[in-house]
Amino acid sequence: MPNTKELARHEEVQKRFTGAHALCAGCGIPICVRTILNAIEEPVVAINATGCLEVATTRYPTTAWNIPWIHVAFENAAAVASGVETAYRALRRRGKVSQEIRFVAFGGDGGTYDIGLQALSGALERGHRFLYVCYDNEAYMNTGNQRSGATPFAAQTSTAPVGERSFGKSQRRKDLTEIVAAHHVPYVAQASISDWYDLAVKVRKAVSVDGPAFLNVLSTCPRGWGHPSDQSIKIARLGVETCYWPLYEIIEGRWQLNYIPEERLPITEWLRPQRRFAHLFEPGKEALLAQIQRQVDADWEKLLRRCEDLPPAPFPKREWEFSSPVGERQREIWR
Amino acid sequence: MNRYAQGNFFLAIEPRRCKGCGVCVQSCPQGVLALNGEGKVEAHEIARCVFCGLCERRCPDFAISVHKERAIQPSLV
Repeated sequence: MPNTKELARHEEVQKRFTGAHALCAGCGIPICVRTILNAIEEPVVAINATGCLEVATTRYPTTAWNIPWIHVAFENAAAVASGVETAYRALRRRGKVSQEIRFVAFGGDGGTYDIGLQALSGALERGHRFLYVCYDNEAYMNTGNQRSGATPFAAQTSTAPVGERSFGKSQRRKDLTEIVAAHHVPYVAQASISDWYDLAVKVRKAVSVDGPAFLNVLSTCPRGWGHPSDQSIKIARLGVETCYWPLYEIIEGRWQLNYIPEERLPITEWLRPQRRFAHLFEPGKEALLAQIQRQVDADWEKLLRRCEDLPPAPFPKREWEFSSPVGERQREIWR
Repeated sequence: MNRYAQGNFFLAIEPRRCKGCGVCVQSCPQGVLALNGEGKVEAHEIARCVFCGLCERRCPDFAISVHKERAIQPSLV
């Protein structure tokens, strides 16, 4: 079995999702999708909810997908995935299919946190063997940056504007990873596009479990969040380093942290580069900033308490430590 | 397709696919890549490249890829 690094370089898996799609420059979604599809060894069937990914990769008559792909509606990606998986199991039982096939459903935060939550909950409860990936860009970016259940507190969106009497979204975001964990599914994890190796390892764990698995991936949106397109990865990394978006996994109900920053950065580091939070740095908004910091601290403390019965899992090595020709040459010399 | 070779490895950049987002430029640990006047990526310091493949993994538009000239035998990897 090839390791994760070798698999990502494999020609066959490289061609599952291709470029020349219409996603914006610097979008985090294709980074997330290509990492996930490259990390799976078996043949894959993709199920897509409506969203940026679906709209921009399948403009008639073109497509960016080289694998079987199905889209039905906004709300039912998980229901479609469970139907496809059930059909596969039936065919397999009759001996018409002999291959091991993996099913991956992609949904945005609108299609997962809000609209598709009921279908997702049902599919998780029924225990279908599929992986649901939520690429979380924290608003309905496809239709023009409307607020969703994933939009963080005090973020500016087109339906939660900033003005004299309002400061953006006045509610907190819901914690979908915890909601999914409450379904007692075998594998739930939270990842970020900034740490591709961590994400790839989580995908490999997720497709290896016999049952539903869920991944919540932080995916930056330069247009909606208002940051330069080349800062996408850096901002996702800041979300991890400020503990706004901790990397953790829940395996069979056991909570495990994947990464504890050596020195936690203040939340302002994550807020400052993004235009949707620009109003928080105007004079007189210090109380809001302190409130956000308190929320993040409380969430992080809660997570630490949940994970305390287990030592933190070793964080995968940094990406540049892999795949260097120097290492390969050394191995060659050692032989 | 532009080809930037060094030793056994080469970087292949497809300028027609590049949207000029600059994710690879920011990701490169060696500072090999830069955007040119047209807003497309090019490898201006290929001699410093260590072929880690990070640009390829992070390119949202599949414009950049790292290749080996001669495949190393699987038994050695």
